[in-house]
Amino acid sequence: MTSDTLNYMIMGYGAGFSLLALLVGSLWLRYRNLKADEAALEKLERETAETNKS
Amino acid sequence: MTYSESRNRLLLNLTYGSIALFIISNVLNFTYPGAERTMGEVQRVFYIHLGSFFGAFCVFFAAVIAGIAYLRTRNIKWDHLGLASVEIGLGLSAINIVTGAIWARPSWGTFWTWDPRLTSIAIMWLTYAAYLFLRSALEDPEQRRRFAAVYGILAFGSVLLTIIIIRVRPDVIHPTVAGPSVSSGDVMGDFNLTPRIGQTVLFSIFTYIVLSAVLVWHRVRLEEQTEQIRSRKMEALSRL
Amino acid sequence: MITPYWHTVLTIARKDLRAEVRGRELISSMFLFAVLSVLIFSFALELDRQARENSIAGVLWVTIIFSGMLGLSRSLAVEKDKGSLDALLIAPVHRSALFYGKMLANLIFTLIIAVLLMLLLTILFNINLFLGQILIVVVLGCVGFTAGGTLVASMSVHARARETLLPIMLLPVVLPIALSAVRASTALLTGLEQAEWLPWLQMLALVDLVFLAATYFLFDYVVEE
Repeated sequence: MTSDTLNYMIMGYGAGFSLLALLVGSLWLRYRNLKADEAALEKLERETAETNKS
Repeated sequence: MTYSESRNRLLLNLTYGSIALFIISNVLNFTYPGAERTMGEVQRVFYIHLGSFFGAFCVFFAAVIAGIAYLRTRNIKWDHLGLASVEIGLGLSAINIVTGAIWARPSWGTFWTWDPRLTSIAIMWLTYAAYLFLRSALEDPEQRRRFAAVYGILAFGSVLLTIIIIRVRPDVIHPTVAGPSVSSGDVMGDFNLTPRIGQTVLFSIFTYIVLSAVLVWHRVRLEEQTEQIRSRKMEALSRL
Repeated sequence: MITPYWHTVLTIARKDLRAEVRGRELISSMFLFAVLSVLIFSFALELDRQARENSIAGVLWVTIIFSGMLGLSRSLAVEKDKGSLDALLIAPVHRSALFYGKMLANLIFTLIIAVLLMLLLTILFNINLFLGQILIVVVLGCVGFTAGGTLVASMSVHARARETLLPIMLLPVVLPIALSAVRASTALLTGLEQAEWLPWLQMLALVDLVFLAATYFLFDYVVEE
């Protein structure tokens, strides 16, 4: 086995970090979508409350 | 149920803590032990490889606890824990498999082989992927949670298989770094475990376990919030 | 002495077997599928003696598993669609009796198919499969397969896409059994020494025990209403 395995090491860390970033990223993205959902929901709730009042 | 102020702060602090640990661990990986004698720089990938496996192991075990607890108490929070653990566990074991394959290329000459340990880790990954598939295929929520709990318990068998198979099969080329093994001379890519490497490995494992726990907590919180939004949506639509 | 528990187990198994003897639906479709698979494998793997010895165990188990899954999904679908499961659940016996009854019937079907397959493969591949230890491997493998399979199938039958879900859930679960069975059989057929095949046989027995124990506890949760 050669000792010039630097490239593989970089590949390994690159892959590891990327996958971790994907994992964290997917959580963050879903959180953002949820927040957008919540905003739309609050708008809907407000409008329903107003129409029900009148 | 929204999180209290103190709970949110705890999670935030833990998140910062895990990020800090992660940075320290990676810096250590490169500075503390010297370059390994027999295989050079690529050995450093090993720290991610082992760390992610232990992280995955811990969360998959948490899924078993969550499954048993759900079946006994029917409290939905256990189902959230189970789902979160499996998702994070899949991600971590993917990291484990990929870093393993990259490490394998210079060590064994190939990215993949069907040696018993690699075969069983592939089985493990597929089993937990099937867990997610099962959840999506069942419509009734109570049934979904119940079956998921049962399958989550069953699926842990594949994790145990991965661990014991290396003790049982002699024709393994994946190196056993710790503990007894019956491997014959076929093992390739074994490296010299100096004390410094050992300490760095332990630190990396610790880091990944903390990181996994924090990730699972975030995922659980996401699930709870999603449920809340869902029920509010139902209510709002019914009032239309 | 037959206790109420075992009486339930045998009654359920007998019910399934009797239905099968009358209709012969299950066994005939399993067998047809098995024969077709073996034929395809025979064409695809035109091999010399050495290669045939190495691959025959794999062919056998792949076919047992796939036709076994056919039988499992049919056997449990019938139960759910007819609603007969609910009637059985009223019986004042531990739920696992229902499970073992179902499992026993499925085991018998799978074993029949396995033996027929072994006959077919012995003829087509020209390798004698009927050695004592190989029969033990086949029995142990089928026991494990049916135990895990009946439990998983009783869950997948509730999903809309039940035919697709069963293989996805079941294959990873039975892979340890398939792996051990194939490795053990191949080692036995190629005449390797005991140290080569015994660990796999032990693994098979261990997995069987684990499955039988796990299913005993978990089946309750699957069929509750």
